[in-house]
Amino acid sequence: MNDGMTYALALMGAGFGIGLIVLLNIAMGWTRLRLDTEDKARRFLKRDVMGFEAGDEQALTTDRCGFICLEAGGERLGLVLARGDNAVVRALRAGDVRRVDRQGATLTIALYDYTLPRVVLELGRDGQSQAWAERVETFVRAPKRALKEEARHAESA
Amino acid sequence: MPNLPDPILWAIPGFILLVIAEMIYGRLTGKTRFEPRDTAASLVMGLGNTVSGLVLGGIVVAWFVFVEQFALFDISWAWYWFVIAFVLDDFVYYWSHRWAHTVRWWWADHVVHHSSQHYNLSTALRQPWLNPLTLKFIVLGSWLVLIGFPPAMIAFVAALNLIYQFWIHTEAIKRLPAPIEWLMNTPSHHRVHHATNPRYLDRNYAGVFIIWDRLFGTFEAETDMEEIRYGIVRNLGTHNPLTICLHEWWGILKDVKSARSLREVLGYWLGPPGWSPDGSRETSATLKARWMEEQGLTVPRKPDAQPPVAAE
Repeated sequence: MNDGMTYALALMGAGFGIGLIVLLNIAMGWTRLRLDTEDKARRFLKRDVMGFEAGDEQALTTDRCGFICLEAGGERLGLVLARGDNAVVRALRAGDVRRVDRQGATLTIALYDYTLPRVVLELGRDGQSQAWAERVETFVRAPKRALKEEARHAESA
Repeated sequence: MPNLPDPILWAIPGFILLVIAEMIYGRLTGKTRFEPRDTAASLVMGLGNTVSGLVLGGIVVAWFVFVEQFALFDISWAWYWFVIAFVLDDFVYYWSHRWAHTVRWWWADHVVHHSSQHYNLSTALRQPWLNPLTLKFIVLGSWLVLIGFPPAMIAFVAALNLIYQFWIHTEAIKRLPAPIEWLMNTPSHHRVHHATNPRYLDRNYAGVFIIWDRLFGTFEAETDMEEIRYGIVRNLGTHNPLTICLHEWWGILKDVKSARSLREVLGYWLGPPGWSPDGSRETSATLKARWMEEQGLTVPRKPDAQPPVAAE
């Protein structure tokens, strides 16, 4: 058997093996993380972001897979998102948010973050999502082009 | 010249069987953790690494063939030269790995391996796709060829080195007998390396022999007092292999684009991961220093004065 054939067979075998492992992994039914309490969510923030202390403004999503809070003092916005059996955490500063949209109780936050460009939080009550939309709005940075446009308009005015 | 096989290619079936075995063991005992999307991403990264090795490996081979003509000695294929090459290659691996954590250009490639929040045998296979393009082999890979070791011998022992490192990516094995823990890189030592707890940042770079870390002051023993947090300082919000592969390169590109001077370009490109002109971002050194202050421990030096260390 020539080298090319050997490589092709080995790669095909590896591809088959990967499929098998993933299917087996799914069938095993690993435990998924649920953020049952605010305290549990805050522990992830404390673990991942040194010195982050959540303030009183905080909310869990209805599916218990997300958590949003303001840092005590309001400087940063804390996000905890369940991913499998673990959580991905962000502490956002002013300017880290590209846009925030609210539709009913659903809050969609677009971030300047290559690996986490969009976060969707189902917050339960319309009033709650409205209040959070306003809070998150303060962390929004307008795109450069929009700012340039703004400056140009200001100059021409 | 003997016709040496590619050990990694032949080890792949073994890797797959051991990953499955660890998965079943973990499910039965709770001693290891898996997550289907994370495992899938790691395995796809591993497969992509093998494919990219076949596609881009020619660059490395061409370089080694070129360098070989300047070799100082003509080393034979005797078995003991394989042993010596294995040890020297591991020494080179230590420095290469250390630089992969301290120079952002190389970290952008190596971060792929650290990007899983899990630590199991599938994590070992989470490997970058663009390694030859970083040209690290020129800076660190040429020494053994220049001494006179045949490139095929180096490639062979380097592959054995990587195969050794597969089994240490597990939480299933706690500690091995003390003499082994003293001499060899073990699951315990390598868990420390994959941890992002400040006390563990940028420690235990060894491949096979942990003695290099002991010699060069980068050794840290695992403690049972603190639960390990795996991954990178700012964990990825995706399992998309392409994003995993490219995210730090994209970060470098964005930062370099925003640079206002040559110094800033060089800092973003070749400085430690987390470097920024105004120091507003966090490097491993600043994180560690802050953690030490919080713990009431002595900070050995100003973080700025330290050699660059990795953070995301």
